[in-house]
Amino acid sequence: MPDDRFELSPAGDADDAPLREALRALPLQAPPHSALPDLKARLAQRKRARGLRRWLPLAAAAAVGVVALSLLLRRGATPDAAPEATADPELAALIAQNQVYESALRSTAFGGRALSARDALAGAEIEDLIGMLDLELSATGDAAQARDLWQQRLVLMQELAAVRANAAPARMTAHNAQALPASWQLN
Amino acid sequence: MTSFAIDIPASTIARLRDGDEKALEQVYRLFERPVFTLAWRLLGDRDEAQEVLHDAMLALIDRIGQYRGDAPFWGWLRQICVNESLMRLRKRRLDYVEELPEPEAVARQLEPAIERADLERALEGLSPTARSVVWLYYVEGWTHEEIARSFDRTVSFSKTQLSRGTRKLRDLLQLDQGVRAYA
Repeated sequence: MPDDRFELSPAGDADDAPLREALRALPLQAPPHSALPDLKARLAQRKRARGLRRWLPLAAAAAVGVVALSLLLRRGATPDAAPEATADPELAALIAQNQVYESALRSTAFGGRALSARDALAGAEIEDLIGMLDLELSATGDAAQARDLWQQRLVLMQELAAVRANAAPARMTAHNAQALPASWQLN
Repeated sequence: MTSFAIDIPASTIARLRDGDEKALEQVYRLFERPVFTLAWRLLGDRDEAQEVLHDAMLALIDRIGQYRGDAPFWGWLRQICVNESLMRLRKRRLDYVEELPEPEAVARQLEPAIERADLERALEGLSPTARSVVWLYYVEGWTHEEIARSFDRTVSFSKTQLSRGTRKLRDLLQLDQGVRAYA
């Protein structure tokens, strides 16, 4: 079979041209199996990761914006500013309870204490959640939805009070630690 | 001419940068055999060559953003393939001048013509390093400087390995014992 035979020179020089031609004429080899399916999967994976990296800073910036806006709204026309404006006694009660907690949290009983990093983190996160609820409250016109939101806000206020209460060293007992919201049981 | 010398349109490379699956498939199909063959010639092991094919193509996906386009794409991909292969050779910690025993089947070969199968067996009779240098020099057309750089050795290392590898190949093919090969 002529294609399978090569003429090689007898010369023993390092740059052996006939040997080069013979080696270059060797056929290409096929791999045992294709790597393409796995490569396609990896490509898709990397594409998703790239997309996430591109959008994550924007999403984070948007979240910060929402929180900042909610805090601004709370400082201005906060939803708990006019409980007497509602004719719904249940709603008025919820608003009043919220105000009680707010007053207590602003009082010296909770203020001026050094917070541990753990408590500070938990408190800040709860405050952010309250801010978001306030944003929703300022936008809602539905009484039932408002009641639900105020109820959620009340729970968060209670959780915030529990976190602040735990900040006092003398009261850092196991019982108080359990008073933390389940999602803030940090290790 | 090396089997790697395949020109890829700039548009395909641009699509590859964007993570286009079709572009990947196109490039893979064009270079699958050249990459596998080169890795196999350097490593002498099909399983490892399969892994190099996979890893080199994966590196291509990861590093395509670094390809500037100032040199042929195929040369860039070939360099990735050589680097992956040599990295595996280094991991084996083989002596650079180690020579494998001469295969009996080749030593008995006294036919007046050299068959491809004999050349394949003769290549297997070289040490991995000598075989890699012989292949990169003769087939891929690398200079001694390029080979030395890739092996992180001197130019004289490359020349010595080529000389030894060539002599060994000729011995294994019994070319200097009055036997000539004819087409």
